[in-house]
Amino acid sequence: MGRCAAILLAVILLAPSARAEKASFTASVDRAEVGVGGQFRLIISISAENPDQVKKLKLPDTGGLQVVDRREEEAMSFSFSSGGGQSYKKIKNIILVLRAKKLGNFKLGRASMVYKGKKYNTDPITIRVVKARPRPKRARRRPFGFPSPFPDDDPFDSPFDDFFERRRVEVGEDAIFVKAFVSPDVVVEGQQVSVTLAVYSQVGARIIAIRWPKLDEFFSVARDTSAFKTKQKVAGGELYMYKVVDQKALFPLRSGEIAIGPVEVEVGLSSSPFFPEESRTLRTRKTKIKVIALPEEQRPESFMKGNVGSYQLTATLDANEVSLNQPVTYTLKVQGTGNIQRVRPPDLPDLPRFKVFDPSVDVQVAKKGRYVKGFKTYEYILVPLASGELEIPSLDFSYYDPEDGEYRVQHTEPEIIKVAASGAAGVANGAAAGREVNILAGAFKPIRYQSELTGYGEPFYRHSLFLPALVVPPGLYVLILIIGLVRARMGVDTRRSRMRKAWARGRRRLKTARQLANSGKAEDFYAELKAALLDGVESRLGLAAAGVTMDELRARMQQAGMSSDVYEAVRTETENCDFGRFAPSTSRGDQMQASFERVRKLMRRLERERVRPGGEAR
Amino acid sequence: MRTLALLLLLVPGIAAAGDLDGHYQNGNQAYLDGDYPKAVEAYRKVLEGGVQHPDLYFNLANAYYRSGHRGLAVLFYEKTLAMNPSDDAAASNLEIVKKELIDRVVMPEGSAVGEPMWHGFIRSLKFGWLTWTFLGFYLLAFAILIGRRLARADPLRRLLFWINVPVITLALVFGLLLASRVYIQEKVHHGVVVSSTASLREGPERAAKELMQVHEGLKVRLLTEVGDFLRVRLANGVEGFVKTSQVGRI
Repeated sequence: MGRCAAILLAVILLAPSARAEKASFTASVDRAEVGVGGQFRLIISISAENPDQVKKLKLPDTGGLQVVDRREEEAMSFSFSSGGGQSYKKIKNIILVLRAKKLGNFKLGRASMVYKGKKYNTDPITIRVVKARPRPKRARRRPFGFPSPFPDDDPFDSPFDDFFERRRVEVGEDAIFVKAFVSPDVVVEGQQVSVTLAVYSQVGARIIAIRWPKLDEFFSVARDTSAFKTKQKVAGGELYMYKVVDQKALFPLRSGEIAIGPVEVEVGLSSSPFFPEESRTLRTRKTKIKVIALPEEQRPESFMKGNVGSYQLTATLDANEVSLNQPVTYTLKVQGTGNIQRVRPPDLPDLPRFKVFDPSVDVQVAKKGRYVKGFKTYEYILVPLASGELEIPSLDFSYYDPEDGEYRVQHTEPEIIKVAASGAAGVANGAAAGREVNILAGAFKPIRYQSELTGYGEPFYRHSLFLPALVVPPGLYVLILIIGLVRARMGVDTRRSRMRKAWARGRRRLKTARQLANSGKAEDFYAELKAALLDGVESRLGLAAAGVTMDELRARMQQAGMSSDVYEAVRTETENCDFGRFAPSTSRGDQMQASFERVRKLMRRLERERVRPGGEAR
Repeated sequence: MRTLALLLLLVPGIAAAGDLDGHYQNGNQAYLDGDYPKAVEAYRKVLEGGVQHPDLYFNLANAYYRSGHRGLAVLFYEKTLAMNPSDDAAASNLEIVKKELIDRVVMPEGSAVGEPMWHGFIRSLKFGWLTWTFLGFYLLAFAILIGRRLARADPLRRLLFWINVPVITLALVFGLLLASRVYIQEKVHHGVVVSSTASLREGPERAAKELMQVHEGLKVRLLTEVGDFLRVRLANGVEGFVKTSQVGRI
């Protein structure tokens, strides 16, 4: 037992070293086709624990191809086993740079070596030398920013070339291309076909534009490709950077053979930060798909074209108990995988007890994922026009399932709505069934049978009388204010007004004096006559003459430029009046008449007498 | 001869008035017979004759409602109330129709949008009553002012002054209310969606994105007219463009 354990332990410990004894010996070229005069690399790779122990290394026969350069490089790789052991290998690459001089296929022979007593051979490689194309534009070998799969490329460039030329490499047609993956290529009408557009590149590239051909025979849905990451992929024995750049879900609208493509992808190739980007248009191959017509057999009556996929129909009602004329929402939702935009749920049957409004349609489609998924809702507004229990019957929804290759039918549950006859509700025209209930009673106001149809017209503020009605009252008030102001101004006791008033007063007193003379009242007559005369003097001088002495009066009259005759006349009549007042018994009627006439004439004379400007009393 | 000529001039007017009254009665009869489309047709003839009267609007609204045109029914009930805010029958029928409308305007929480409250108060004031009340106080105030000016006795002048203080105050208040009413009448316009369904769009073009669908009977404020579209505002402040032909002006 102890021996068995020891052997087992020895095997485990020796296993890594046993594995390390294996070596690999391969040959590869960096391209299978090259133009005349072009160069390519032949890489002989030896992977072993100790490549220095390689013996009898024989390089392959180049078959007429010129060897322009040779160099070697070494690297080391480590590996760890699950048992905790570790091993390492040295990798030695012998790189031959070969040049083709003429057209044709050239066979590179086998290389061979002996390592630890065991002989290793490589496989022969065929190189096709074609007619050289014009010197192509160049780009750096940095596809999508990923490090070049071939480190330290361009070993054959002359060190004497300029720096930029050394960094440039030829970008052949096989260095970048686009490919369209169409799946599946046989479908039924309305079934999804996925077209995935991928770019393979060995050079740095940028997508400028993607131009799809006309897709009139399809219902096309764009898919989101942002989730696709750049990765490495080998195509035709070459390592490429691979990226999905676009994807479409196409739903054929007819049966038969339909071509897709070519799709054009415009890319920008960057060769160097010092050189402008080169634009190149890549094209996919035209692909044909076969579209089979939907089977006629067992096709349900309710089937509508476009309902192809895998769906689930649900019907919901937002309320089952409502009042009359209170709207309810009936929602039909189709959910599943397929052409959601085109799928149609069943139409509502004729519902005479409802007013049915056009549905509002909502479509939600997931953008990501290869298959189109989502849901579509039809929201119907239904207004019950009658009370009682109203039914929305079961609806049939059929679709063709391409996975199972048969039609399927789904049914909704019938919905019952209990409608209460609200007293405040009315019935619209056409609700024949609604006549079962007299819901109009007392609520809906009837028409006005009798009406004069007058008394209402344009509002009064638009009438032509409205503005005058606003303006006239304040205008009138302002007018009265102005009149009052004028009158007040006229009533002010100024010098001129005093003179005017004195004259008017003198005239009135003269009349009174005449009446007194006629009645024989001598005393009163002379008093009034004197007052009238003094008023007449005042009206000329602007001075209350009643209170002044005769000397003052004379001085005033002289100052006013009045003649002394006038003064003397005034003085004489004044004295006469005084005499008549104090000796009335001596006065007879004719004397009073004479005095009156004299004073009247004197007042007229005073009125005509010229008064020097500024001579009036102040 | 002159009298005859005058009569000849008046005859067409009298005949036209008689026709309108005849159409109105025909509309009433058709309504009572249950022939609502015919009633609508007859009432519209009266309307096209230039008659503006709340009774006509009310009957037309009833006929539209019975015909199943809720949008137009709402429009003419609103017209009735615009002309006579105290028309209880129109308000009552309008409430009934509103219960049957589809659109429910959801007011945003915590923000004051829509028509200011004072607009509603001002609209509730009857135009004729407001105008004549204002003019009454206005004329009375100036009459008292003039009377006071002309009065010579101081006690009378003092009495007139104190009488005029409340009169002028009321004239100012009613003047302000009338000015507000005129402002709303002239500047703030409303309409009602009359087509069964209308699209509220982001711009005045058919290609503009649809914000939402609105349905008949929805009352909106009319802001501006751009081509064939009206910029409208819902009670909750949402604005958009709707085709002019789909909205009736109150």
